[in-house]
Amino acid sequence: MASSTLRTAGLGMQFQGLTALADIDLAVPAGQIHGVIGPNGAGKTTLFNCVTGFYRPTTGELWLDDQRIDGLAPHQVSGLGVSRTFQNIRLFSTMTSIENVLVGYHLQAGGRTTAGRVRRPTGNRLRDGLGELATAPRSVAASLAEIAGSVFRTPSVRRAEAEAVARARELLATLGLAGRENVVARNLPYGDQRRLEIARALATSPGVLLLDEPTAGMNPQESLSMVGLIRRVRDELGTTIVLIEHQMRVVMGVCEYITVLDYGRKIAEGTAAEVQRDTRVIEAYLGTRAVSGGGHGAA
Amino acid sequence: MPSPAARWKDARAASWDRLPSAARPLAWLILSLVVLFIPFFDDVWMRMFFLVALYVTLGIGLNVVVGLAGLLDLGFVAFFALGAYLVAIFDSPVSPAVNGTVNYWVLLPAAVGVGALFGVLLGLPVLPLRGDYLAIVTLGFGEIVRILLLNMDNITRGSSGLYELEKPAVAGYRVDAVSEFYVMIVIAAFVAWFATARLRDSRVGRAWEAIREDEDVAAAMGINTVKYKLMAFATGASIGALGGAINAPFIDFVAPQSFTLQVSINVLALVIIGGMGSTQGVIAGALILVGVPEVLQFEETANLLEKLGWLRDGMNTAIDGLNGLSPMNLAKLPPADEWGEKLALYRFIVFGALLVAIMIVRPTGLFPSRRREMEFAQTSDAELPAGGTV
Ligand SMILES: Nc1ncnc2c1ncn2[C@@H]1O[C@H](COP(=O)(O)OP(=O)(O)OP(=O)(O)O)[C@@H](O)[C@H]1O
Ligand SMILES: [Mg+2]
Repeated sequence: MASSTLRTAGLGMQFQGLTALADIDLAVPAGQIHGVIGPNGAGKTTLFNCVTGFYRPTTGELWLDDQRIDGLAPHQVSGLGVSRTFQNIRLFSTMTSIENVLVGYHLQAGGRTTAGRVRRPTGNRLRDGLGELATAPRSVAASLAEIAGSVFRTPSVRRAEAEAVARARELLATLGLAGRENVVARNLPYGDQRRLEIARALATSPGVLLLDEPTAGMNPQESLSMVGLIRRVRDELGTTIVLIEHQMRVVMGVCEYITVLDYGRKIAEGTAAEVQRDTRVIEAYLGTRAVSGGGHGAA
Repeated sequence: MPSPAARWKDARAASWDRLPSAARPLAWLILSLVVLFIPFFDDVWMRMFFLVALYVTLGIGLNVVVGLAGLLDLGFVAFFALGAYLVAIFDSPVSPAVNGTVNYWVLLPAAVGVGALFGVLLGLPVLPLRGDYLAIVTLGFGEIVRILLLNMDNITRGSSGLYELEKPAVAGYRVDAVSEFYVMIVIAAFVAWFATARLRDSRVGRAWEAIREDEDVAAAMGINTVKYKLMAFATGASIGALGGAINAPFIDFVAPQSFTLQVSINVLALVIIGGMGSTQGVIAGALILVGVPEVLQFEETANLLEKLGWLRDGMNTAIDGLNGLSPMNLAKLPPADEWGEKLALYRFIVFGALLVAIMIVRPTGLFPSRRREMEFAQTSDAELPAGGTV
């Protein structure tokens, strides 16, 4: 499940009168590195929050491959293979690097239970409630089995744990964090924290990886190595990547296709070269709100 | 698999970790010896040790909910009460609802199961709540249970309580002496410790900690936060009920007035004083919070204080001197043989001062939780091979 397509149709998100997203149509083919750019407050992070189930979109649809995912809970979306990082790093700060990654391996280490399709809530509370009630006995049995397995450390639990640890180590090494396994996350240098967040997201073995400003606060050199890393993840794992980015150099260097948002609307899309020439994009960045935020202009 | 000692290293090492590794088995040995020899104390002391071990058990249970999963639960006493009442209702001859008695060894595991069930029942309505709100609602839950027990007098006999419980029997022998109950509660504490330590080191424990650290992100990593929070509530509650089920035949009087908010707060306080998330912390916390107030009123303490007569004489001489120098008229200290009595009377002032002192000196508790090191390879931090295997 290395690669999935992500599609939104007429996606909209409103916060009491404030329209954060409106009518967003997006199609990210499997294996693409897709950039999402736009001035501050354009709705980029909101888009990620909708896709990952953090927010329930007020209108429109979300599709992962051939499955509709809007309305699902975050853990279900994650189970289907959508993973993300956060604009303001959100690691499990008192846990060690390897523990952070092991949390990402949670589903694998437990024999992925949400594989395949997940029932979407119908919106009818009674029906959804009854549906949940019907699965409760199995869920209780699974919980009891899991507690018993952990307490008695059954051979299968041991094996799963050992395998998760081995893979977590490998993943950390791949991201250049070898030797940092047992460092408490909040004690890591900033760049390492960003990479650890990506490692944790990759541990869920996502078909789609959403990166929210992975180079924020990095110097040009660090940004460059992040670009290399992103490309390597796609090339080696095939993961579809959606990237929110302010640094134009990064966007232009790595993104094969770009969507531009402004005031919650899609104002342009295309390849880096196409987007750069688009007058609406230039206006959004250099127009009335010249040099807003980290926008380095469409230079 | 490396040795257990190797797995418990950490950069933010607590006092325990600073012990040289050779000293650790020694520390365990001393602790075991102390635990083993306690049954040779007299009953007054035994009662105190029973109480301490009971609170250690309760603390270990609450620690899962508060320390690991980060859910501030102020209604823990409800589960303690539940376990006690389950045993009392079926094993007390005065129980109005049930005739005859049920074997204690059937009731004990039943209490654990019922505790877990009620843990889930409490958990369900409070799932969306966080922090302070959770604390208030669980506090209310504890009170509701107590008031229900008080008013369901056709089952619980209200404040008259249930007593003369059938004592647990082992192969025809009745567990009766304080020291025998002490052994029971120590075994329970050990079982609770073992189970929760294993859980903490597993995928379940990691999920709990992830939820404690950042619930939203935990969900984004695929953790079903609802399920794991309920598992935490259930685990904690079943340990609380276990404690209650052992305490019931020991105190032999089960009534709502023993299950007040004070119990919840005491258990929470000992978890915090000890240092959240660590078992040594819970033991230390229980010794201080439960043991010290008891010891302060013991005869032995009074006798010890009597030996301090010389100190009193010295102080009184000094007071005389001061009174001679100025118009101040300082009262003299009472005779030393009254000190014990006075201390017993004012023990909670002494106790409060002790708690304040501890929290000033060690704000994170006596034994803050060690940052567990997930060290599965044999190498040390500095020389980990890239992508090493287990
Ligand atoms: N939970 C929320 N409640 C209310 N308003 C919100 C919420 N989340 C986002 N918004 C609003 O939606 C708009 C879009 O915010 P968003 O964080 O998506 O912007 P962004 O494009 O990620 O900007 P930046 O480049 O600064 O990260 C903003 O006006 C923001 O205030
Ligand atoms: Mg943003």
